[in-house]
Amino acid sequence: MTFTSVLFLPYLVVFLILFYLLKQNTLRWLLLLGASIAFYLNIHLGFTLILFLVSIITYLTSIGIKNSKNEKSRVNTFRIGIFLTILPLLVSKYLLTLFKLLNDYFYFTEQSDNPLSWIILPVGISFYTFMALGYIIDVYNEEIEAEPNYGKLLLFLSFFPLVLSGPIERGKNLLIQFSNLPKFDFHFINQGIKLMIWGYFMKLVVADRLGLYIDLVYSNPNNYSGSSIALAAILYPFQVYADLGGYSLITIGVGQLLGIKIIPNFNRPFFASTMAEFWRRWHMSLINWFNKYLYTPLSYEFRKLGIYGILISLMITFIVSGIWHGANLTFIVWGILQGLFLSIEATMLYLKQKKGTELNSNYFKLPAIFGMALTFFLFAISQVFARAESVPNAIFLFKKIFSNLGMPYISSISLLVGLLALFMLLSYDFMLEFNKKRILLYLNKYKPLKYFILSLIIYSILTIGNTGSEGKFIYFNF
Amino acid sequence: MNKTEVISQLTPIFQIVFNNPEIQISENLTANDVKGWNSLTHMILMSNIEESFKIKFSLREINKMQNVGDLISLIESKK
Repeated sequence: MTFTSVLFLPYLVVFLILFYLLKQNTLRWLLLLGASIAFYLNIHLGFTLILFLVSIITYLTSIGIKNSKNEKSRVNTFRIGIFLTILPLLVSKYLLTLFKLLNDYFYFTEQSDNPLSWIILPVGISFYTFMALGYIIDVYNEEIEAEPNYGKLLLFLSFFPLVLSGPIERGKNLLIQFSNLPKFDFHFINQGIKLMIWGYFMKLVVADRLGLYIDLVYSNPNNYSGSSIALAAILYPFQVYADLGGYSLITIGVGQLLGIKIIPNFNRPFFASTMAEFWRRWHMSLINWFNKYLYTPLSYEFRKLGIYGILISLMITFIVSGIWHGANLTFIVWGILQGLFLSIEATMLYLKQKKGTELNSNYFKLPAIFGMALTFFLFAISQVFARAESVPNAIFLFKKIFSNLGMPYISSISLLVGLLALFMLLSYDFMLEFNKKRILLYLNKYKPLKYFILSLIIYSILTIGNTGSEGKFIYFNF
Repeated sequence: MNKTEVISQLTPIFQIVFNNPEIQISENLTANDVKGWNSLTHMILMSNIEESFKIKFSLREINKMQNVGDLISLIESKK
C-alpha cells in the first residue's frame, strides 16, 4: 500500500478515529507503531525484517555510546555502529552493480548467471538509513540523549508517513513529539487535509500527466525530434518537483492529522535565482543532512586550504549525493555537475568579497528573472543525466537536441492537461512567493470561492488524476 | 587572556575575512548579522582564528557555537 492506493484513505480514517479515541499517550504511540509496522509489512516482509535489523543496530549503538566507560570504547562503538547501520544499504544498493562492474573485467560468470541478481532494493532504505545515521551521530556529538525506549526508536525509523521516501527527519524533532502527542484539534485536521489535497494534485495530476509524455520520449528517443526531447528535458524537473514535492506534502499533511510537525522538503525551488539558493529550496531534508553530516565535517578537515577546501568539500558532497540516488554513472555525472555549478558560484562570490564589491545573491547584477531562468536551465541539463538510462544515452539526447530540432510531438491530451495543471501549481507557488498578502484563489478569504476552488482541485484529482493504480513515486527507486 | 584582549584580536580577523573594516565584535553577534558569513566562509573564518590564536577547535566545538559570545568563551578557555 502507498499513499495513492485506493485503500490508503479508508485505512487512514479508521486509524485516525482509533488514534483520537485513545487518551493515554503510551497507547497512542503504540498504535502509531503498530500501524507503521503493518503499513511496511504490507509492502514486503523481508524489507520489514531489514528495517527491524537497522533499528536494533541503531538502538544498541546509541545505548552503547551513552554507556561507554571511556573515550576509546565510545569512538569504537560509534564506528562499528555506523558501519553496521549503513551495511544493509550498501549491500542492497551497490553490491550488485559492483559485482557487474568487476565481472566485466574478470569474467567470474556469465552476465545472465549473476549469483547476486536476487538482491532487490528495499523501498525506503536510503531514507530510514540516513535518519538512523543522523540519529547516531547526534547521540555521539551529545546533541540529543540516546532514546531509552526501543519501541519509540523503532517508531522513529518506521513512522509510516515517512518510511517510503522521507522527508529525512531528525531524532531531535520527532522523538520528542512521540512522547507528547497532542489532543484532537480541528485546526490540525483542517490544515492536514488541505496539504494532502494539494499533495495529491501535485502527484496525480501534475507529475503523472507530465510523466506520461516524459516516459514516452525518454523510453524511445530515436522516434522523437530534438524539440520533443528538449521539451521532455525541460518538463522533467517539474515532474520530479510535483512527484517528490507532492509526496512530501501528503506526508506532512498526514503528520498534521496526527498533530505531528514534519520538516518541509521543498520551498518553491524554481524561484531561486542562484544554484546555492536552489539547493536551499530543493529536497531540503536530504541537503540539510548532507550539509550537517558530510559537508561541514569535510570543510572542517580541509579548512587550512581556504577557498580550495570549500570547493573540494562541495564537490565530494555532491558526488556522494549523486551516488546516494543510485549506483549508476549517470548519477555521478549529475553530482559532478551540481558540484561544478556550486563551485563556480562559490568562487565568484569569494572573489567578489575579496574585491570588496557589494555582496548580494545576484552575482551578475541582472534582474532576478534571468538568475531564475539560468538556475532552472542548469538544473534541467543536469537532470537529463539523472533521467537517462546511461551517460552515452544522455549525450545522444543532447546531440539530437542540437542536430535535429524538428517540431515537438504534441498530440496527447495528457500533455496539455499536465501543462495546464503545472501552470496552476506554478501560479500558486508564485503567489506564495511574491504576493503572500493577496492570495486570490486557493486560500481566498471569501469562503464560497475558496470551497469552489478546493472542490475543483478535488474534482480534477478524481477525474484526471492517475487514481486507482498502485502509483509509484519516483523516489521509491532511490 | 581576558575577554577584551580576545575581542581586540578577533576584530581584525573578522574585518579581513568579511572584507568589511566596519565590523565591530559583540557577544550577541551571529552569522545572520554579518553579510557574507555563510557555510562557505564559516570554516575560512575558523581556520584564520585558529592560526592567529595558535589554538585548535574540534568540529564538535564549532558545531556548538551559537554566537560570537560562545566563540570568545571557547578561545578564553583554550588560552
